[in-house]
Amino acid sequence: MKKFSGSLALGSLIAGIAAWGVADTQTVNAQGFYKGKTIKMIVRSAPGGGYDFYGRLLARHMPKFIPGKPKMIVINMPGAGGIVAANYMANRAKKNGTEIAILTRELALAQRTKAVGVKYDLSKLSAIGSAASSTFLVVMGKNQPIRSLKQLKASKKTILFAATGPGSGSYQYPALLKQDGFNVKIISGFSGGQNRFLAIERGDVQGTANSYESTSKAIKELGLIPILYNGAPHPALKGVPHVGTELSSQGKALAALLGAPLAAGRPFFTTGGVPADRLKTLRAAFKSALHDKDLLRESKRAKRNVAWTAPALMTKINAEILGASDKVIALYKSGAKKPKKDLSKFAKHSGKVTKIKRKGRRIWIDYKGKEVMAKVSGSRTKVTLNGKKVKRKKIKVGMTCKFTYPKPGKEAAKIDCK
Amino acid sequence: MIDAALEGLYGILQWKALLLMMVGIVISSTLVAMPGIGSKTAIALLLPIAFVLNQFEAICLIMSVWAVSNTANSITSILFSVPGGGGSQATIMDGYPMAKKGEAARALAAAFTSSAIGGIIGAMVLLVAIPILRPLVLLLGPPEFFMLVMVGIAMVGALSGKAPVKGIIAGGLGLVISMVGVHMITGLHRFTFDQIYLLDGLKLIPVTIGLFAIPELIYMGVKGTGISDLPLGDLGKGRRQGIKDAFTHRWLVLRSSLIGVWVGIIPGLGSAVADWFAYGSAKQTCEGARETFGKGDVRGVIAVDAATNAKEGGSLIPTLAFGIPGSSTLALIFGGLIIVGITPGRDMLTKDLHLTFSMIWLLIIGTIITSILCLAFTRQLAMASKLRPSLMIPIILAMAVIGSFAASSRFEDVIIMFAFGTIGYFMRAAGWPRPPLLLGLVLGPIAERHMWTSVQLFGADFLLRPGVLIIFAILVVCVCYPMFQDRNSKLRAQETEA
Repeated sequence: MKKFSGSLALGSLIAGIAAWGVADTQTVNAQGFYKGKTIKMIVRSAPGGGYDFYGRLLARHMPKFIPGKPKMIVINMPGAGGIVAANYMANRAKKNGTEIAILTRELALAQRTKAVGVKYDLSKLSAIGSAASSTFLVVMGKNQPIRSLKQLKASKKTILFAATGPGSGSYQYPALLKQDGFNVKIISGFSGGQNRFLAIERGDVQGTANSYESTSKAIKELGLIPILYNGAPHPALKGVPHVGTELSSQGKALAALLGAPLAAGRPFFTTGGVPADRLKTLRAAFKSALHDKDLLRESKRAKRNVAWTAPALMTKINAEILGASDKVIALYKSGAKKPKKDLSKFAKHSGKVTKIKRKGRRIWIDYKGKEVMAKVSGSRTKVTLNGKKVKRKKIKVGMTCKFTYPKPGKEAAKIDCK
Repeated sequence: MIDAALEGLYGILQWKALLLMMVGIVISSTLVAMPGIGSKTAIALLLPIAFVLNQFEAICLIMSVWAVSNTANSITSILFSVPGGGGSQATIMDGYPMAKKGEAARALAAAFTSSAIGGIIGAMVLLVAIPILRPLVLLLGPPEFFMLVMVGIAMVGALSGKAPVKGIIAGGLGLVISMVGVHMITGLHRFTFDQIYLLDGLKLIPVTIGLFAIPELIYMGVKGTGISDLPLGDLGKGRRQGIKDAFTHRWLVLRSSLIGVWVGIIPGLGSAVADWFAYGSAKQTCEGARETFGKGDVRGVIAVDAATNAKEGGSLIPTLAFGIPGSSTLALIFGGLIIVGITPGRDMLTKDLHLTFSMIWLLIIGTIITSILCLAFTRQLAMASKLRPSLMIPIILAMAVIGSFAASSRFEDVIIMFAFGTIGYFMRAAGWPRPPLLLGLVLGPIAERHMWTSVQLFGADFLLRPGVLIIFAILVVCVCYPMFQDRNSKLRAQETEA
């Protein structure tokens, strides 16, 4: 009997929880749901900076547009360029509409290029809207001859561009130009826009790429000349060509990929599986907050632009990026990495192997009656024997080998032996 | 210029501005002084308030949190061997041994006093530098910055004491650890083992807390006594002595302050290394320092605290002249000041000169008030070193865990803290110097970045630029002077023996 009453109690408890759960998702409407609740606003970066600014701005102004006026608290979740926060939203956040997040704008690209650590599927998160759109610029210095994209295209001299590193716009845009046949070289390792402007002022480099918001002051003060833009058109950029009108079709495809995230520069998401009425409430509150007088006044004082992007457009942009062809992605990735060595310009010498030293690290062949040597790297030199890839120690004296290297005495890129 | 100076002073002496300055100072000396809670977090939380303030009030509230945070940061370093923030690691080296000797009050008072003097010197240098700021910073390109960092790396030798080889190995280990994460220039993943946590690299705060605080806890537990088992003595006297110490060693204070300013000027170098540079230099140049430093020499405390506070004046130089924030905290501060219409850059030296002056005044007045406040509580603070271990160990352990966690709210940071705690314990037990490891960790990425850019721009020729050669000459002097001094003192000793 005791046992029975125990299981009865347990059973009713389970039934109760189940009933409560059903009530939670179905019968209580969004209006009642948010009353007395606390919504978590996850920010993808540490305190300070743009994402934090927009996250806190919305956390201050959004609640008054949500029926029931819930509290909203900000939680900073930095790490791995925003991937940590996105993973959290996809896998661990509550799926009842009480957690929203401002995530990184490169989210879709990171997923499409299979960046390390990605454990989210963007198509399974629900977009709420974006709070700002952005414009990206290529600018040139005042004290150098290049004044327009046409002049840059015609330049015989290699033009140097300052950049932070691959993955950043400051790197991607010069890389895009380079792939389109412009004679440019990227100098990476500068931290932040101001340092790059300074390098231009010192004359170390001639140009750089940066967002319009962070460059407008330097255009005025240092006389920088914008020669190309991508993203949302800006009234101050009249006469500057859009990237889509000036490049080859391949360049355009890549520019579109780079430009897509600019339209939704500060994207907000909630988890998947949020009941439709709550999602609607959140989206409406987000939109109203971005048109709120108080919010606009604050953002104006902070000199941050505010522009609402519809969640439907965000979803479309993300779908486009996720569906980008492998060819475009390969192009994008090659812009993010050091370009491969051009083997066609390398010397190709073949002959019989005459001498081997240091377990195959140095190999000599007889080339047209002269002994020439190649250095052999275990990781960088591709060694083949009868067309099969082998380790360098398999090469023996007497074999016939073909070196592909810059010149005798240098490290070989390829060694093919028979 | 005098008009601007007076206007700046008048602006921050309004009652509301002064009150906000006091709020900033109290927040800075209590919350920010706790390990792991940096001035950055506090400032980010305060920024929304700036919307309703005028320019001077915003400067008072936001900048005071930052400007004085180094003063109170020394408290936990001296008392518990847990650094209160990035800039107070080297305070541990002599501050904690002093607390162990029962001289906590003296150490604290010396730290607070030299903080005030250092802060004032930093502000003065900023004042003098205003007219020559722009040409000065334009002279320094990536090659020159690289060489400046090299001078810092040469400090490893000084920080290693009697075990240079162990020091160099520890420094190398620090360099290797600094490579963990996504390489910022190539995007290459180094030593990340596909772990998402490692993508961002190992953070300084958990590593420091682990290296310095955990070993002390273990020793304290084993010994079964509090931090100090010696009688505290007359605390009031200790405090007076500490204040006197800072003035007795005024040249050391001046020298260390100038080092602090210099480190502050180099963008990105700032916060975490000024203290080590000053400590290393003091160890090289003070008489008899090689024997007494690390065992509770008050000069070690004075040098560090003067430098960390002077640094703030220096770090304002690139920020004001070019809008290049000297540190991420300054980037945040100026991001906030934009809200009230203050934009860093050229205007700060012309049109908005009065605002620049108000910042200089704030640095001076703020550090003085903070030091007086801290000095007033020195006796109460010093009592903590007498608490029994059964109370102290849990408190410090909690501080260490929260401090590691709070920096970026990640549990992995706590694991890293304990891992480095273990490493630190064995290093301490075997007589390996720990500071070079930290120096390697901080300077590695900076040196690498500047070298990368320099080579891309100029090839190997970057080493032959005049600026680089001059700085290299300074480096040679830095390395050779102590060796020369050493030989001289040995010769003198032999002479006296003979």
